[in-house]
Amino acid sequence: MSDLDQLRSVGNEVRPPSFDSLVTTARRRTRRTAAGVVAAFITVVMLIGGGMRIAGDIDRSAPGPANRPTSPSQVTTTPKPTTPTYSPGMGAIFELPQEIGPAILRQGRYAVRVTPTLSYEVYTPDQVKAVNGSFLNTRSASGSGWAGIFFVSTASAEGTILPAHPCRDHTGRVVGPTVSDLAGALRRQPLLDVSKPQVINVDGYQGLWVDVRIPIEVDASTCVNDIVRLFSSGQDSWGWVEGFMGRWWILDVDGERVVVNAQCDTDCSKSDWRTLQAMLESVDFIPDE
Amino acid sequence: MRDTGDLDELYSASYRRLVVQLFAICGDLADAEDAVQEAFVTAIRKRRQLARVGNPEAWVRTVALNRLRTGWRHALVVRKYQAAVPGPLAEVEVGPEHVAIVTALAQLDADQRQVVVLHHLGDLGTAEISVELGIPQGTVKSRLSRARSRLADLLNEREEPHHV
Repeated sequence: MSDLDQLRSVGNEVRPPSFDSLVTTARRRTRRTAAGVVAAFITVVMLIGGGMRIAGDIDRSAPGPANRPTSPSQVTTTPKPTTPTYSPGMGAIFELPQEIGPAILRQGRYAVRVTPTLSYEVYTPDQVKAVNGSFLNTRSASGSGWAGIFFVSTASAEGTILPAHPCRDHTGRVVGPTVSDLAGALRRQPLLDVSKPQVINVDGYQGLWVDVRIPIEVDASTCVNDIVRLFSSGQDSWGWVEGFMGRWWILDVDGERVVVNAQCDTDCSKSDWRTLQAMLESVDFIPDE
Repeated sequence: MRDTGDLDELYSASYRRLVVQLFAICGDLADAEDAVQEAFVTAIRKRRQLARVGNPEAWVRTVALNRLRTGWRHALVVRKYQAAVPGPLAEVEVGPEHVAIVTALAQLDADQRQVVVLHHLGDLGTAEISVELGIPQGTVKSRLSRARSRLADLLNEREEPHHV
């Protein structure tokens, strides 16, 4: 393959930019992230100061931990809020504020906090709805409302639990600490249709990709708590109903196991999935400095 | 690798060869340079993470390859809607002999192309490629073998007119 060796000489013609210029670019991007936090804070203060409450308008299709309580009185007494809109601006990164209900995101790149020590950046198309600064709800390509859901959750090494049976028996059993342990345990779950794990590398982090489905034939209304339980970790427990299709990237991010979840129901179109896939592929993890 | 000084050394030592490797994979020198520069910007921002990586150059290469794939998707959209807009001229002239090789490489399957470039331009052994790409060593060997065979055919075809 001496022909290939000739290509090495191309390197002699390349003039690298100064390393300092790259350091400056990196610092500028970090400052933009910080500026996003300040702008978001100011937006929230202005909205609250104007007498508007930001709560309670969570779309039915937006996910949440299955054990997160929502009392009926909260739903009925909260006035219809004005949903804030965020826009990161050209080339900037906007850090989503957490726990303030829904917000509409203009096209751009956003930083989303997963844990106190881990965030990720993701590129979203226009008019995505963010719920509680964690869940990103994409619009249906057909224009008929909301379609996909995107979020990143932790699946702690010590405390990730799968149910004995996703429908009939939610008694938990702890899975092993590695990415492979979780992917393998999911694949062995009854009822669920889980694809063979494929090795992936996301932003330099190794992991496994599995597609998880709850077959349409399942009747979740006959299951414990009317839900097909997928997995639990810490305070959060994730479940859904029949027709669920999840594209899960299980990754080890600096020793923390996380699940990057893009999900849709069986009626989602290829275009809806392309939107979610593009978001998946734009993920860039940012461990805290 | 705890500060930007260490990264500066990595940058000086590896920038050119990484650009060559990515050029061989994507066939566009400007895209290759952009991807490697973006990967180093990411490395600077994540230098604490990089400090725990056994092979920082491989880490940077993986990030650059991911950037390249993202860039391709973006480029497809841009080309669809802005086909008439000329792009910037490449600052580096690539000789016709290099163009021929890159053209031949472009006709390989993407998986084969990546393996053959990492082996012959990245100087990685099959075991190292196996680790870097997360695929079995046997798969690396078979892809390498098929890639070499196909490349030999393509490059011979290029030379055939001279033998007539």
